[in-house]
Amino acid sequence: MKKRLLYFCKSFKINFDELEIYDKDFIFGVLGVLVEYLSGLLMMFFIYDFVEDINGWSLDQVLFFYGLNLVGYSLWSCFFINTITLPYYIQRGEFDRFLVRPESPLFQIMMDSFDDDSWGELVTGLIILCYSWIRLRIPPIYFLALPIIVVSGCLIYLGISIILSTFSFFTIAQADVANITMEVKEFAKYPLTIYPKVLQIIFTVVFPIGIVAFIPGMVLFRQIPWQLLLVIPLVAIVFFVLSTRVWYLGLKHYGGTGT
Amino acid sequence: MQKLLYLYKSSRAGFRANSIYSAATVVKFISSIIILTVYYFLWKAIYSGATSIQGYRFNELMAYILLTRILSMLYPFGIIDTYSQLVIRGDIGLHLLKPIRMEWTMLGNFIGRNLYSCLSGGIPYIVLFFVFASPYISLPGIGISILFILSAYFFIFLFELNIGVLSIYFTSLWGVGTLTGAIIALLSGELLPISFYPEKLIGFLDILPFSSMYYIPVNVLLGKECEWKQALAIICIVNVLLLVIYSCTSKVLLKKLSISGG
Amino acid sequence: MGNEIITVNRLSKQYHVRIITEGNIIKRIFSKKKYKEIDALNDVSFSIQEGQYVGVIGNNGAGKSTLIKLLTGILYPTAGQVSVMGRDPFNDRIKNNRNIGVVFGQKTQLKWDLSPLESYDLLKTIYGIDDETYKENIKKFVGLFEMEDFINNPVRSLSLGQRMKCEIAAAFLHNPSIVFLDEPTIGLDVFSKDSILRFLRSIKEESNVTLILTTHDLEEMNSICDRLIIIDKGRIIEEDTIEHFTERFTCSKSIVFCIEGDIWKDINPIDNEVLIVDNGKVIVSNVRKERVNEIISLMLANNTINDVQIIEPNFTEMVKKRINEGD
Repeated sequence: MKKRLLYFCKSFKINFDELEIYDKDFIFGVLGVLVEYLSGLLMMFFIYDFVEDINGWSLDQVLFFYGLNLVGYSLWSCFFINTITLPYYIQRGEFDRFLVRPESPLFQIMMDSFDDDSWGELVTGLIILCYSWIRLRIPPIYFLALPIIVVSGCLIYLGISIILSTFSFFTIAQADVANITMEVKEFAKYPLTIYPKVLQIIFTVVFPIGIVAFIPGMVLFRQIPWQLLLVIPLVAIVFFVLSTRVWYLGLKHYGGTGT
Repeated sequence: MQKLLYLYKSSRAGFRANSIYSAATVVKFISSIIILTVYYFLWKAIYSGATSIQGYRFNELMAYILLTRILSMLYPFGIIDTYSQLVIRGDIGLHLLKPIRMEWTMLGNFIGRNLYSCLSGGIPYIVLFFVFASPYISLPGIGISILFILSAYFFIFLFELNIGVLSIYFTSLWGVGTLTGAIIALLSGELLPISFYPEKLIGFLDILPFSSMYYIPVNVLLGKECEWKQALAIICIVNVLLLVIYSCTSKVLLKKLSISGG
Repeated sequence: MGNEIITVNRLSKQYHVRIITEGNIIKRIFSKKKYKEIDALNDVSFSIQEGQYVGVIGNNGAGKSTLIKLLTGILYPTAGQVSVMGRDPFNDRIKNNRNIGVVFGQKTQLKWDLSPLESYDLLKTIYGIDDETYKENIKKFVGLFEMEDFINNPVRSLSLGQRMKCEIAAAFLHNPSIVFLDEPTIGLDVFSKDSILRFLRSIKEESNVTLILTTHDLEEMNSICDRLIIIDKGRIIEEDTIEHFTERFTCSKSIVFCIEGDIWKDINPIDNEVLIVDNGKVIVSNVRKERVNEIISLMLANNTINDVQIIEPNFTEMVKKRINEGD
């Protein structure tokens, strides 16, 4: 564990140093992502000029869902987005280098590269969350639960990307199935109640990303018991562990075919 | 004549090259469907209390959103990135060695790529567009909106070329590309019809060419009133300007090109 | 001798290179960046005659590729003039490009996902090659390179050797007057190399094309080029016909004697000659041509000799020697 933490810190530092070479790029990229998300939000503001509520949710409440989800997602995309690069490694024959080192190949892939523009997502997510937090006068006591919820969100996105990237062990074709993780985020931006029952079930049971923002929202705005918050980290950990199992099953298959 | 033939052949080659990755197409298709589902239910929830917002009924608004999605696949976004990749990898040298300007090659490749992505990942959008829009489509509007789409295609091509050529000086423009993409999305009404915007913003956007990308052609196609003549004049003038600026800047910047290695 | 097809007059090219400074990232982002100028090419002049095959040699980073890029008009010179077929290759690039063909060994001009034949079809349009020439050339090149087996496969599935054959064929497709080959044989196996050299020789026999070749395989260059240009640290340190160059350097030979029994070694080295005695062998190196006879007869007269070997320096060694001598 200690070794991995050290590995994480080193990889992070190297990546951060690399940013400096393209520093203008980095600043513009973060700005770009910021504008992209803020303009998405602006649209929400414009829409709320014409409607009272969406499915019973006020603008601030929708922003709360949006922000909480985005912070969890951006943690994943800041630190672990490289999981979705697996198909490229396999195609270019670079994957084998991870197998010959004394460290879990999955962890090595996660550490191989970090994403730069995701910092913009993290900043935007935090801004939105703070804004809605203040507007909704959410009791500060819930701040204690925030890190746990956000990290759980990150873990679930990580799990989804790991499961989806496993497909590339089975097909050599350039299928970026794992990129779908980013579309899944779109789904979780809005309160679950706007979707039909089938989709609600899929996004609480199969890909449990729906619960990350939704359960806190229900606790705060619909008075369901707060103990339900405990479900989030539990589900996240179980889902993450399961996803790594699936990944290693895929790896076994890959080793078997010897491509 | 030779240029047109080349344009045709290189766009065909671009189409072919993209169509090889059929698995990638399947993934794009799935992504399209997920995004569509989100939009559908979101807008359905928004419209649950109203039949018409700012003159758009639910079906019209869906048609608007769908067509902007199709157009965003059709437009040649990504020239900036392609250009700076050419500079970073030094491949720009190979393009400069052809007896035809490399902008033609880019245009050809992008036409092929755009048509392909439109006809693969865009299929669910196209089908649904007709489901929602068929009662509203105005026949004379088809011609005008095609005119707009073509002008907007060249507008984006030239706009991104103008920024992309700066990569000779700045090398990587990946961040700038993201930023311009985001700004264009905001100013063009890609996410929401411009009439939903606040009054002051609308007046400002009327004199910019960006509304001709989505807002005007879609409204014309759906038979809605809009000032398309003025918009067409603006985008045409801007296109000419961009062309002139590009030919000057590229001339100057190419002298500064340095490809290291060897 | 034909006409001068390329003339280069006092050509220089400087690069502007960023120096990465120490310190933490925040500091570095906001501090002023440091740059330095690097002379990639420094006051270079030469000319090339039509129909010649010219080899350009130099260590990595000596300025070979910069020279090629200046000659082809990709780069704009910091100072000096280049004239290719009477034109400035930078300002008149598009026109100039119709008459030149270029291969960069580390890049590809073929479409990665399409077959070479499809790429050729695009080139046909780009260069406006007429049907007859196109068909004739394709037929000729496919024959010379034995390309039938892979000409319809996507480029990404080709081996390096196959791909390079396709690249070279692409550069000759429009019957250019000048062809630039920048390290065309880098990383290739001996058979592919031979095949490429055969191709270049046969082109030379039947056309008047001028070829500029850079390579690290000096023997390969020796076998097809007429002239050589050696570049070191941005300067031309040698420009001569291969024949003349070799003549100048073969004047120094080494003689190895294997001797039985007692060794007599009382020859007096003159000039630069070096005498080494090692384990029953006497080696005299740096011997001038005229002295060979004298040394051998001296040695034969005084020793019981099992074997004599006269070693002429090979081309690679001559070039190495020349580069070490410097400017």
